[in-house]
Amino acid sequence: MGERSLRNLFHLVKQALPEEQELVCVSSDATVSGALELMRGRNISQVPVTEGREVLGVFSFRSLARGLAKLPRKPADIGSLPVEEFLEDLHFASITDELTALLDELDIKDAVLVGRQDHLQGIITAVDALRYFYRVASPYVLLREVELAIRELLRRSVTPEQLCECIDLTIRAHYEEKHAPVPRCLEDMSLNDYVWVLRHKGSWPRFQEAFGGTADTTYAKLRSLPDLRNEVFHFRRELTVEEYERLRETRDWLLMRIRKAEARGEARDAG
Amino acid sequence: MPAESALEAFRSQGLAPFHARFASDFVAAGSPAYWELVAPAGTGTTSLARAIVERLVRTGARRVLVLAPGTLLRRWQRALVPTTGQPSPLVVDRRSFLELEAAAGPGRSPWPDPAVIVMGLDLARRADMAGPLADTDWDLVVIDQSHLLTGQRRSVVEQLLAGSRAQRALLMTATPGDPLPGVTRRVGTREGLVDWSGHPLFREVSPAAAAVDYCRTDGETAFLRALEGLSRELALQTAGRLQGLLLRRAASSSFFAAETLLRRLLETWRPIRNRLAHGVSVTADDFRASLELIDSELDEADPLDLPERVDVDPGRIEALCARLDELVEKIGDIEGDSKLEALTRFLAELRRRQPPARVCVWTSFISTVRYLSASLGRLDEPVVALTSAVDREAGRRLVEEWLGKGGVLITTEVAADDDLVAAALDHVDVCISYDLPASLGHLQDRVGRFQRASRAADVTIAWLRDTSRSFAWEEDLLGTMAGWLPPTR
Repeated sequence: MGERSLRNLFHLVKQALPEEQELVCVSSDATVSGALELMRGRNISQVPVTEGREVLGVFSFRSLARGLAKLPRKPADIGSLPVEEFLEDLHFASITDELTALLDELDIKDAVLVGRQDHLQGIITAVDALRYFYRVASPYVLLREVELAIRELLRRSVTPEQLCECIDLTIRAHYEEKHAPVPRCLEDMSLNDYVWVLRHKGSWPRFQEAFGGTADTTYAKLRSLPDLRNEVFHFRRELTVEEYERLRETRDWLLMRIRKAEARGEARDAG
Repeated sequence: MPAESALEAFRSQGLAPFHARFASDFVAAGSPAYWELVAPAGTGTTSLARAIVERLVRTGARRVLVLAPGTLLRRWQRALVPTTGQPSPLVVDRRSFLELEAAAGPGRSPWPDPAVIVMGLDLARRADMAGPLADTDWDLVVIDQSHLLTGQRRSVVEQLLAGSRAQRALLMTATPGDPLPGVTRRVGTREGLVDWSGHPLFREVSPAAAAVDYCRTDGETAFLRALEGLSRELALQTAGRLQGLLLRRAASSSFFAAETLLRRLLETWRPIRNRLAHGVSVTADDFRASLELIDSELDEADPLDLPERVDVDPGRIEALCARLDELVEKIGDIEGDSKLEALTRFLAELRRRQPPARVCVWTSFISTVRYLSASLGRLDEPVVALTSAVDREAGRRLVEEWLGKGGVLITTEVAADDDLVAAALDHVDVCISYDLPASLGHLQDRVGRFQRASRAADVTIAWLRDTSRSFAWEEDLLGTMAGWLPPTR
């Protein structure tokens, strides 16, 4: 059990296997047109070909193209040919194999089969791996975007002197209590400082146009960010689905506010 | 074991008479193998199931399968943590199942022995799970929310029962649907539940007594009208009807919840729109994922019964995405929140009471809990917020803190299903229903939780009333609750 937990620290095949994947196979006597129709309908690029439980190979757009190129003469009706004439072999991986070890296979063949020849459990494609690694990396990317977007909206809302007034009103006492230097510019401030400045009803009117809504809605959106940031950057735990969604929604909201602010700025410049 | 001693054993585990008798009959030799228990939510059915599982495992059961909606799996896992050396419950998703299968090796059952498996109803209904479930002998199958057994979910369970792969089955629901063949049904009502001295466990549920008035502003009304229009358009497709309903419920709860749902819809529809634009087909599963994502915001024990087939009109998606974008923009232009202001004023009045009132604010939406806890955090009194996302132990600490210090407890239905939270509701002086429940039945259930016989003092049930009557959907819903909420002025 301990060993399994340690292995979970690394990126394994099971983590990249889409949870909703339902395996679709065709038998060896299925026709090319039938398999292509199935692939089109399911929006997939390859389909395993089986005889009973045994995997014979994989039929794909590439295997079809290669097979056709090798045929001595082009048949009149390609669609009626059996798929077994156009099979390719894909590598088999175990559900607990390391994903990074399969990157070359995914680069060359676009997909890897999961399970055994006599018991297929799933397929991982290059896009599945890409999505997985994006999922792992995206909290860091999102947090960077969120923090920089808040900073930019704050910058557009107040002059440096007005920012100092807001700092004095909201977070100065906190810093003085800790005998720490009071920040004087946005770059010196932490994400937590940004949230406290925005939350204060005395300073809020200066930021209302940039952030929209009310001080309460803005605070409800931002209040958990400093803690989430610490959890992520100190690798304490993975974000829950709920937390991740919240982070993404906050990022989308800020992107919209930035666009609005830019549009207003352009209109002012033009006017 | 004779029936009397089984009854005593279940009684000693804290079960009320109705539940103990049911459990005793369920485990009795020669009793029917398959039962459905119909009982109101929050009356202890999870504890009953736990007692039955414990007893059967202690007397030799090797494999137990618990099927429940995805949102309730963690709750079941927590409820079934064993007190003695029984197997710990294992929540199985698709990935962990594949891991079990690979570890078991060729030709062997993937299920550990002994095992208590907790699995989502929607995973069990998948075609590739039917074999592994039906190829195993289960000593007990427990199905929570059995009214959700329709379509493929129903077929899977029928297969388990008809093939006798399940030795015993316990189905549970508060709102029974068509009975399954061969299943014995027993019905318990809230009024009929008594303690071991014969006293009722619940008081007669009485209507809400107080209304907190507010008047939506022109900006708020304009947004709600636009949202109504979108909801009507959404209703033209199957999944859209549910999405439209959820949007209206969210907007009725708080604009913050509405914004969260609108963003989630946009986020899930954009890839669908892009795929359609590139001529790639879109499946029902793509829309199911969208529904599941917005349903996860609703913190109710009874999840949405998502349709297995989704009719989609691809031509409308582009236009609907544009409308969603517009609405998300509009919501940022609403200044102020008249409903929140009314709540804040009411809470200030309650704080002036001597001693200050213990208040519970009840909502169905996780995002409304977030919004209220952020906003009410400005008040000079403790605010405790509970949702299903809060870890059980942390939640219990918060409730104990609230019982000690008083203040405002913000909770949802799922969070209040925890027995400690349920008992804490006995100490609430004023319950404020921040949003409207989905139906009269839900309203009665909500009110009933505060009117248990174990409560020492009276409780005031209050609700937020919009005197502008500007949200047509809300007014229609209120019509169905006539007599249970004070009439609108």
